[in-house]
Amino acid sequence: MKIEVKNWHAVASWTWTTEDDVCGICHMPLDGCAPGAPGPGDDSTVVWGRCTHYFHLMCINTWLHNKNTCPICRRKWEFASAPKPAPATPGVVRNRQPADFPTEEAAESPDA
Amino acid sequence: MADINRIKKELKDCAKDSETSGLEVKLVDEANLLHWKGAIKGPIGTPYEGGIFRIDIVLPSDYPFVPPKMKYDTKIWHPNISSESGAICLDILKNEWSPALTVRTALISLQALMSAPEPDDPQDAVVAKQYKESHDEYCATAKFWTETYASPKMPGLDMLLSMGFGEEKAKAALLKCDMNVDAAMEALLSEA
Repeated sequence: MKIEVKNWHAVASWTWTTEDDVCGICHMPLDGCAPGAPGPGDDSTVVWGRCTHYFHLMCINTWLHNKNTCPICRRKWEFASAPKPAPATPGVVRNRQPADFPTEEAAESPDA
Repeated sequence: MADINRIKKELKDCAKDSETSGLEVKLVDEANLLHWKGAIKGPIGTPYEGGIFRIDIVLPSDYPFVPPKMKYDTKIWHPNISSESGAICLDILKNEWSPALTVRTALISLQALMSAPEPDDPQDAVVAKQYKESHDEYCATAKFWTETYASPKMPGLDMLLSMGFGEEKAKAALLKCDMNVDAAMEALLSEA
């Protein structure tokens, strides 16, 4: 018997690359729904700060109206890009450093 | 709109380790998630040792972006707590609140405040003055208030016990009669 592949659909699953699984503000899973969000995933985006802490975008935005600080470490809040995946060294867990979290502007500028 | 899911989660987390943490919370009315009562044990080695201090907790509608409103229901002699109203002077319940804090962490901070008063940022000026100028007096008064108002023992319980009623029954009767000893005694006698 022979088969012929006429077409195929790739399916991928994804998750946020964080080491903790709940938002520090709403305490809901980061890959779940932020309060008031229509759904998980793209509707409940996760954002990082330069200080390495991360929250649902909706949650941190509500807080930033009150005070421009990180709720966890109280440093001035600066949005950063998602961290580069940690180098895969089996058995070694390295704490992420602020340097791993480029600020949005720095991330957008072309590499010199 | 208060974050109901987070509030429910917080209630559950508080219940988890109430045995070891010395903290307890419960809802005043099951139908209202925004009004809690908390209880904290007086820290060991302080004049508050041996007392149970009850705290009234109201979560505003935009909690957790604003702090919970807390005050002592139990009278306490402490520089940072009003001896009249139970109002608390603590930075994290005001300007230094952060949504990463919880009712549980706020109650732990109250325990810490009881261990380490801040007389230079007083809520009750009379207590603060005494704390700074005659510390022994302060300790004696605080201890007396703990024994008088925060003792987990119920007033009148000793008398009922000396009359030969069982402890459980006597406590239940006192609770039922709003701590009125005479009414509790009558209730116990009519039961017997």
